[in-house]
Amino acid sequence: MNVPARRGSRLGATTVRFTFDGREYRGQAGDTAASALLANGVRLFGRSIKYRRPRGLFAAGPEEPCALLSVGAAGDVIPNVPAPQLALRDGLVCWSQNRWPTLALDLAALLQAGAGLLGAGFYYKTFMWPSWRSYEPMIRNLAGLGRAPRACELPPVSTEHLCCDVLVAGAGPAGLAAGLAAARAGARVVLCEREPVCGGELDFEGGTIGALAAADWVRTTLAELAARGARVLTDTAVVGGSGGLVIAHAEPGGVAGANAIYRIRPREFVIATGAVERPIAFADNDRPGVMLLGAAERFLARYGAHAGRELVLFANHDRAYAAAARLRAGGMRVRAIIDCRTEAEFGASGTAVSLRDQFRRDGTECLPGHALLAAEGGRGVRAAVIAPLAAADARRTIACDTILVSGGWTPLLHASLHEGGAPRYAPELGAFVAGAEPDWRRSAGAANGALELNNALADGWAAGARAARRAGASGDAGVAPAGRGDDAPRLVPFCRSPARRVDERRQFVDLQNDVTVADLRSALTEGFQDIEHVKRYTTLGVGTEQGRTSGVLGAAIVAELRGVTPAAVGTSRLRQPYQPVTMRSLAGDRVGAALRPARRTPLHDWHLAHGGVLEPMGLWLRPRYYRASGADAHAAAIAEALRVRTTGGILDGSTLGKIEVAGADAAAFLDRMYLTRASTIRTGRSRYMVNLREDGMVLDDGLVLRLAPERYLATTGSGHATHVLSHFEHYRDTEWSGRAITLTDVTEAWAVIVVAGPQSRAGLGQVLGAGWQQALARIAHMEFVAGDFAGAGLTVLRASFSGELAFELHCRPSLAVPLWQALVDVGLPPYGLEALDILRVEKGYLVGSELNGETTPMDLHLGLASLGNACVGHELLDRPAFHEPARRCLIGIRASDGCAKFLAGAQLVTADAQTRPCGYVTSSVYSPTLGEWIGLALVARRTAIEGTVLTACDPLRGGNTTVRLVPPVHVDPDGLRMRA
Amino acid sequence: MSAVAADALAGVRLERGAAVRTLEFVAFAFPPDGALRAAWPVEPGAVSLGPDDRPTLLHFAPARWLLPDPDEALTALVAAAVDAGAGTLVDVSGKWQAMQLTGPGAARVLASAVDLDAVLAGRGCAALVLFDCPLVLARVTGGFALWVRASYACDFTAAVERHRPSG
Repeated sequence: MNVPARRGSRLGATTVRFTFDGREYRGQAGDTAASALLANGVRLFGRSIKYRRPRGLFAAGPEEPCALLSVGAAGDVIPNVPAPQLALRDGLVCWSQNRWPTLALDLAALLQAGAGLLGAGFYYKTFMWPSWRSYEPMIRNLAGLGRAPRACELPPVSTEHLCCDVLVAGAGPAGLAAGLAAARAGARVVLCEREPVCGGELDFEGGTIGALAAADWVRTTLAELAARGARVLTDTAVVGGSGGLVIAHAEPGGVAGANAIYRIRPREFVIATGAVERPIAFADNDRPGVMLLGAAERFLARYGAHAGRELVLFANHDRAYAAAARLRAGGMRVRAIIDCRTEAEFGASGTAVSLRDQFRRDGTECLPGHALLAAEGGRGVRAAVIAPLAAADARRTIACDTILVSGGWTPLLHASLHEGGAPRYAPELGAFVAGAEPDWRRSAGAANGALELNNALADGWAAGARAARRAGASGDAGVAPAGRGDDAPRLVPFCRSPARRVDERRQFVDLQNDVTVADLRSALTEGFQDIEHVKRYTTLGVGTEQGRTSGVLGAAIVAELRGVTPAAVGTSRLRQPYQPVTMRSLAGDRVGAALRPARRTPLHDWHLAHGGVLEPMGLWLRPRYYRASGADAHAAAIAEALRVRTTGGILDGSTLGKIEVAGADAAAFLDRMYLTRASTIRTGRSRYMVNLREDGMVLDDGLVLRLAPERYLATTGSGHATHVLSHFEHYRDTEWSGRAITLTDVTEAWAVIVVAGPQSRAGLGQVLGAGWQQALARIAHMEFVAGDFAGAGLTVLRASFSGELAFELHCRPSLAVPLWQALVDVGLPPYGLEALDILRVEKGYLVGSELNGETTPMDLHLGLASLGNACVGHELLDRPAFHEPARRCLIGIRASDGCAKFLAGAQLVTADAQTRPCGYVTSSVYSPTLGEWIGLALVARRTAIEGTVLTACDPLRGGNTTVRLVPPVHVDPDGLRMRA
Repeated sequence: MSAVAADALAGVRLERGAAVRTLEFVAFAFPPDGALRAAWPVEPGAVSLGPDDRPTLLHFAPARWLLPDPDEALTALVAAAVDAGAGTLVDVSGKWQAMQLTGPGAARVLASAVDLDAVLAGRGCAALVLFDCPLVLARVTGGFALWVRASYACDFTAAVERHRPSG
């Protein structure tokens, strides 16, 4: 459709093509989807959530409750984008929501016929038999705002942390004044404005500030702010925060694309977020063509889009007349101005009086003491039904295609309330303003109830200057500029037109959630008196609307119905975020591979280059197996484990946690940290040690090496270094404060290569050379020697976690790759974690799942508890509960038939099926040495008797397997191979 | 990414330093005794610079100092402190991957993860977690010097790359 070029403060000349519900339209650069569709004559934007009533544009900002669009190709859409927020771009594809099959012909609109039966709470009362579940799928299909995308890849979102002296939310006149005052005083200022342009409504309300036209003042103020180093973030809304942290969300264009999240920690916070226009409830006030008065002004001034041709205005304040004059000047015909104030309330002086006289002279009906009772029409307004308030039966209609309504302004308190502020009712506004606020935060301007330009400027200026002073800026802010704009509104609170009870079902309070005056009355009748209860019963102010247009209106109507003041009703809690934020924005950088860090060993690249299949183990990336070893993980692991048992292999053990404990009191300290004494370890030797939590449960296990009389290296499980170190530091800093003990995490300082297998000593000697061979021959189990290799330090420890003759090489990371390659070259190929698990389970060593935080040293047969070392946690090992027959302990397990498979996690039950499981399988592997599946299990002591037959139940994966209990050590129980 | 943000990130350069001998000195008590106090950057976050403006001694955590590539004089100074029973010296070569982040957008890249002004307010260095990677951060001429835990170095590099305009 060709439309003539429009002129508006935000419009460019370029033509932009877009589609809405599959039909192509044209707009102009700078348009929003709302303004462009409005200019194209579109009035129907969507359907309501519950009754599927036709809905049009109602507002011109994020407060828009009805015109929510889905943006993108079908199935890959971003739902619930307010049309006034959606910037037009060439090729934009957007869709209406909540309709089937089409917006014009929505079959679910038949629900309107039963609207009388679908009042608030009907879900809870109606769908009870046979069960809620029977109805849930159908209701969920009908309900909800839009549809969640099935596969929607959104662009990256940038995150920025900002610190400033003064944060100002909102860059209308009050916000700009606050920012300027603070910047002139020398404060570091950040200013967030949710619109793409600063200045608030000055662009269409006009006026003068100081000696300048309002628009020029905005320009010069922004220039001065930039010169003073202030940061002005447009398209950026303060959406939430707590505890002094303020979250701002930038979404240029109103839809995910170049989004940013700002995490701002200001010293002082000025909330100048303005106010949003409040509607008045009347029958069928949701028809397409009923719009907020200020919205019509915005669409006209910014986008040259007419809300309609024939207007009827319905308001309760003076500003309606100035607005009507601007709309008329823009080319729309004002048929009538319905003012619910009496002539006495209207007054006899002021700009509104002269404007009204002018309108009357021009043939516009100006009707004080009247109310607009109803809108007539279906998918668009055809007429307004009006009547004098003093004689509501004296109805008549005025033909029109648009009804513009304004019931005053609701200060936007979201930023204050998100931080825990308590609102205060201001009768002169018929709305709530921020109550007592903490010193660091203050509302200003319209957000503080200062609706007149001069008052807003003064209030903002004072707030900015105060904030700067409190933040420590000592400069002189100067005085606020004087402003002249629209007169004070002189508002008389009015929330709804008179209506019969039956018509209250069509007086909409919350257009997004189809909440009517009848619903509010129903909630009160049901006993829900508190506004929070009313909200939950009726859904008033939930969803993306969050009470912006409905909150104060609803509170006022509840007050009227209850016969109390709105102050006695209060407002419901406003939830974060202020406007919808995509989950992608909240996730920020943490998606995909960046979800969590991956730690790499010095051998990482080698593993990748040689077919290592890496998988995350905690934060570490470790080789699970090597492709060269077999066709799949199972085959490769078996081959690698067999190779270690028959010849030898090497394992990257660099992930092993390592903590250096040094100082004159190091030995005594470690005696308290471990179940066995570290002080009795001789220098040059190591010991397998276990440390406990305070409650006696095993925290971790590992080797402790005595490097020197006052220096130890404590090793921990992979990925356990941090919490073991934290455990140590806690005791060092509390119980052992002031003692000569230092703790240093040296995990990455030492790469570790495990060389295991019968040929490990020979292969190692070949690589290390003659100088080391004597030491290798001499070194006993659990001993270590330190020396040089290739000009760098190397420690060789003889210790085994495979049951084979084995050595650990501790070297600097720079030496790891050449040493590893040399070992491979002499016939010691690498093996991965799958093979390591096989070797460990065969030997009865703890694999990991046995250290689950619920096992004691006695449960694991570690045989160390009886040594009597008074370490942390030792005292509680004597708890009777730890020795009860039902307590589970470690035992070996094999399939009774010698060939069946069972998996870790299977529950173990006795033949008596009435009993609860007596244990579960903690680890299971196929043993190539034994040729059968073997495992470890935690089983109740009374049942953990070798030879006992149990059933391993694993219904989800493999059914039941009959197993028998055996000693945990399946291979080489005497340790002959290890000590060879 | 918005044009403004892209400009701010332009010209960011991340360079890895060579593997050098690195020590950590840990004092038994904090604040350290008088003898140590005279020669040491004792204030939390204090940094001593070498003649080439390179950080040589960083007080990055309570009673814990990092000595990247220490010269003989510094090594002797620390050894004397150890001999005096003030603390212990640990050779942590390989634990930290030294990096330099420079360019006009360097601060903006790091601000993606942390409030730099708050973290480095009144101090020369700080131990912190950036992009989930533990590291020591110090201001230097033209940008920042970082010592990233070596196992996290690749991830940290990738995170910086993600925050470049092309990322």
